[in-house]
Amino acid sequence: LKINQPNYFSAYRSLKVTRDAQGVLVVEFHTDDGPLTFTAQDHTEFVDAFYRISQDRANKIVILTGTGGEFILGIDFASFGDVILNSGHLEPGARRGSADS
Amino acid sequence: VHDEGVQILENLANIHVPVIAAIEGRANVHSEYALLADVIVAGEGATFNDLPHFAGGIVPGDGIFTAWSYRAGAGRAEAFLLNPKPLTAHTAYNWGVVVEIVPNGKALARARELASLYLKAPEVTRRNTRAHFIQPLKERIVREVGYGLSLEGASTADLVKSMQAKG
Repeated sequence: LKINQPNYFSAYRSLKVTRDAQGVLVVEFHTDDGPLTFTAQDHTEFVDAFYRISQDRANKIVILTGTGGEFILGIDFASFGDVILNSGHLEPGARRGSADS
Repeated sequence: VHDEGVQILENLANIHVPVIAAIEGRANVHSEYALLADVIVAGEGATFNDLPHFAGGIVPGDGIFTAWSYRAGAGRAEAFLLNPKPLTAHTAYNWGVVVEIVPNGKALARARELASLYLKAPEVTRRNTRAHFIQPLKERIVREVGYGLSLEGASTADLVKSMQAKG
């Protein structure tokens, strides 16, 4: 099965992408195989990931899910630091170190 | 971040096959990704929240309001986003956001069952049904999220400035 999998399946740090013989694509959000803590890099990569998923006609159904018993647990505010300095834009608030409370 | 924020949601909306979200545990950040699915299956202990926005001092303008408003109604979405706290799977079910609650750990298995069911429909029917179902939400995303992210960005810039002023 892995022989024919498209390159984009393994292109994103925080997405585990698998597809069965029926074309059911499962997209699992993760950070190091545990619950996803969302980063600025993910924000960039998800644009491309969802585009490629949408364009791949071999995908017949798409399932979005999390990892480690959580969907999306938290956000890494520090990873968005450059964004504040460069553009004044920030998705997450800057004041929380951890968002899993 | 602004451009990406719009494109992530538009690209999700442009997935023209049925999309199922299987939620276990906490959907604390970007729960709107799940709300762009056609159906959401949740473990009974699942919760939704919005940690990054109003609770952190910025506008929930990235599409989370648009998606919750579309699925749950504007009043519920506004109250939820102005006072973010864990929203249970059962409340989300009563709001029509979650369509099935399953025992914890079974959401993905149930999503796969639904996928098998949907696969019985002809391919073009499956694709076009998704296209039809997502269209109203896609239109709202296109209309609302660019401006929402501008408002969010402006609130962020102001917040950062006031934090810097305080040192």
